[in-house]
Amino acid sequence: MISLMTRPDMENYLTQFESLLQHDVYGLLQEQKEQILCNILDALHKHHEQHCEAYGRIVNDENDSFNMLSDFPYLAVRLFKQLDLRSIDKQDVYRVLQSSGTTSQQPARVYLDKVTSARQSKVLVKILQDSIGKQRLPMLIIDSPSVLKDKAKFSARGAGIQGLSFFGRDHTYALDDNMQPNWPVIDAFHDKYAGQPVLMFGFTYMVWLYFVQQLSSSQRTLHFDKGILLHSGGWKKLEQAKVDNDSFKATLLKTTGISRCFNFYGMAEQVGSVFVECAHGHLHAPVFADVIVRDPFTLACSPNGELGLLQVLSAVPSSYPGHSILTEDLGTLLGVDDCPCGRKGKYFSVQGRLPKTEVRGCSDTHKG
Amino acid sequence: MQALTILAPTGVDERSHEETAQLQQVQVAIDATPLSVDHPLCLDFLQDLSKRLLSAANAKKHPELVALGFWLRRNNLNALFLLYDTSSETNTPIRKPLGLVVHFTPSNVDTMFIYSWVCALLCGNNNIIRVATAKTDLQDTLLATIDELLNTSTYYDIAIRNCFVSYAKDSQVSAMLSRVADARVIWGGDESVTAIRSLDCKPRCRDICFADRYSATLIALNADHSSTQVDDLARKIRKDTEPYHQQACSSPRVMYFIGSSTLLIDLLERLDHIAHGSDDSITRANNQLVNSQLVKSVDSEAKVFAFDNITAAVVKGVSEQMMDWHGGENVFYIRHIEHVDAIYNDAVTKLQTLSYFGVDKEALLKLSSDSSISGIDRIVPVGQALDFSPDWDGYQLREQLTRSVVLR
Repeated sequence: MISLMTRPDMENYLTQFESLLQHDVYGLLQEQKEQILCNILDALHKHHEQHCEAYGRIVNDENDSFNMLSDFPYLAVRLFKQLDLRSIDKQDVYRVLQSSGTTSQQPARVYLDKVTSARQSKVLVKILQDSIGKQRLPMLIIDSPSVLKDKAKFSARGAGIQGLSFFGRDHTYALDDNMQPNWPVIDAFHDKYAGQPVLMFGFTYMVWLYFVQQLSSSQRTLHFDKGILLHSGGWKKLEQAKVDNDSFKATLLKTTGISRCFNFYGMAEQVGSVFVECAHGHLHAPVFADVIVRDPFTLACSPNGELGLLQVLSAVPSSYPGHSILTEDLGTLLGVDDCPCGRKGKYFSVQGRLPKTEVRGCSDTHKG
Repeated sequence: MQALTILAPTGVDERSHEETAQLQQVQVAIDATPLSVDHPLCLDFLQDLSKRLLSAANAKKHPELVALGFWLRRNNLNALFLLYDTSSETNTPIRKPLGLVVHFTPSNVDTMFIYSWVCALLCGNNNIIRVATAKTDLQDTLLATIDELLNTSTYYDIAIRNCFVSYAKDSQVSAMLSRVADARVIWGGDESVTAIRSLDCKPRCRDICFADRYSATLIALNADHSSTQVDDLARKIRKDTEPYHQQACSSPRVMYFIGSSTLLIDLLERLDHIAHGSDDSITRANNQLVNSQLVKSVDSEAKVFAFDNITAAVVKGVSEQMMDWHGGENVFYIRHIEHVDAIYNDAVTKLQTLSYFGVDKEALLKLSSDSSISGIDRIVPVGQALDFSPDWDGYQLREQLTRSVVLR
C-alpha cells in the first residue's frame, strides 16, 4: 500500500518532483516507479482540482483515494480543444501551445506558466540525453525556418523544434518556405559535417516526404554514418503510403547513412515527458511518465498485448490539468521491466488513431 | 474533375458519362413539363422502390432502408398523404405542382433526402437533389436501387424529370440551380441554410428550411407500470435513437423524466440492455466520455451514469452549448423533473420533436398551445419520433410543395 499525503500542496509536489530527477530515466522498476508517481499525481490531481474549476467539476464525483496509477481520473484529450483548461491566473500565462489541428478543427490550447515550461525542458533534456548523449551536435532540422516566425500562434511543431534545438548547434533548416529541400543549404551542411556526428530532427511524415523521398528521387546520397535522427509525430500519412518503421529506417540508411534513428511519441498536451524508441523498436516510459492501455469499448485496463486506447500520465504539468489524459491513439503494451535493451518500466507500441467520427445532426448540407 | 456528376438516373443518355451530356440531362429536368399531383406512375414507382428495398440483400445491414421500405408502402403513403383521387375532377381547390424543386440534402443523416424527395415527387414536381459527396454504404445502396429502377423504360417519364447529383460545395452549381428553382428544400446546419438562402432565386421561389434542431422525450413512470410496459417503453426509445447513431434531429437527446430515481435507473438499465451488441463502434465509448466530461465541466451537479452501451447525464438544465456538444451515439441528457411545466423554460426554438409516454394529452395540449413557447413542432408517442410525415418541422410539405388553384 502506498501512503497518500493528506494535505498535499505545491511544495510537496515540487520536492517529490525534484527527487524524481535524481533517478536514472529508465532506472526504476515499475513497482517502485508507480509508488513515486502515485504520490506525485495525487498531489497534482488535488492541485488542479483546487485551481482549475472545470477540472474540479469533471472529477467531482470520482473517488478521491488512488492506490494505483490506473485509479486516477483522466481527461479526454479532445477537451483541450473545446475548453480553456488552466490552473493558473491569466497574468501568469507565459505561453499558449496550440496543437497543429487540421484546418476545419479547433486546435488544442495548452496553457503554460514559466515553471511548467522550464520543467518541460528539463525533463525533455534528461530523457533525450539518455538516447543521444550530452554533446551538442551540429543540427539539421527537417523543416522550414518559417515555422518559428509566427510567435503569436505558437504551434506544437514550433515548440517541438525549439525544444529540440537545445540538443544541437549550428542549427540548419533543410527545407524552404514551400517545403522543398533547400539543396544549397543541405549541400553546405554536408560538406562541413559529412562523416562526423550530427543530429537531425523532424516530424516523421515530413522527414519521409520532404527529405528522404526527395533524396531518393533525385538520386542523392548523404554520408552521415555517425548521425542520429530523432523524429516524432503520427504515422498516418506514411501508413497510407505503406511505409512502416522498418522500411523507413532502411531507406533512411540508404539515403543518409544514418543507422541511429529514434522515433518518439509525445503530444502537445504533454510536452516534455516523451516516450522514446529503443534499439529494439519499443517505446519506453521514462520515470516522469507512464502509459496505460484501455479497452476502447469499456475503457477498462487492458492486459499486455492487447490493442487499446493509450492513457498517458505525466509528472510535469502544474499550469494545466494535463497530468492524466486519455488520448485517441491506439497502442499495445508490450511488456514491463524486461525489454532486452535493459530499460526498466513499461514499453509499448503505437498503432494508429481512432477513426474520425462525425458529430452533427441532419445538418451540414455544404460540408460534404 | 467534373463540375457536376449525375448519380441517378445514369441510363437516360448513353453518353451519360460525358460532362456535356450530364449538363443536358439536368437541363431537361429543369425544362420538362411537370407531371401531375399523385400521378399513378409515381405511385407505381414508389411501390416498386418499396419492394426492392425490402427485398434487397444489402438492406438487412441497414435498418434505415428497411424502415424506408415500409414507409413507402402504398397503405402508409395513402394514410400520410391522403392521396387525391385523380380520376375525379371534383377536388377543389385544384392542387398543381410548383415546377422544379431543388433539394440540398444533409451529409450525415444520409437517407433523409429521400423523404423530402418523395413528398415533392408525389406533388408532381421535377426534382434535382444534391447529394453530399461524403459517401456511405447506406447512401450507395439506396442510390443504386433508385438508379436501377429509374433506368427501366417504364419509369422514363420520371427519370427525365428527376436528377440526383453531386458537386463540390465551392462550385457555382448551387447558384445556378437556385436561379431556376421554384422551391428550395434546404437541410441545415444553420450556416448552410443561410449560405444557400443568400443565393439569388426567383421572386416567388419558396424556401423550406430544415435548420439545426434537436429533440426530446418526456416520460412519466410510476409504480403501477408493469415490467412488460417498461420493457416496451425502452424498446421504443431504442427505436427512436438507434438509426443514424441518434444523430437525426428528431431522435431524442434529452429525456425529461417524471418519477422516482429507482424507476429512472431501472429504465436506463433496460435501455442499456436492449442497446447491447448493436451498432458497436470503436469510437463510441470515447465519444461518450468526451460528451459527459464536457457536460460536467459546466454543471458541477451533473451525475453521469456510464453504462456499457449508453451514457446518461442527469443535468440541472440544458443549454445551447450542451446541445452543441451532443454528438449522438447513445448519450442522454436527463432532466429529472416533478411536473411537465418544467419543460416550458427549455422549449426553445431549436426543440423539434417531443415524444411522450405516460403523460396525458391535456398537459401536452396546454404545453403546445402556450404562445410563449417558440419550439416543438411535433408531439408524438415514444417510438414514432423518426416516422417521417408530410407535416414536418412545422411545415405542411404537401401544401408547401404544391400550388392551390381556386375555381369558382
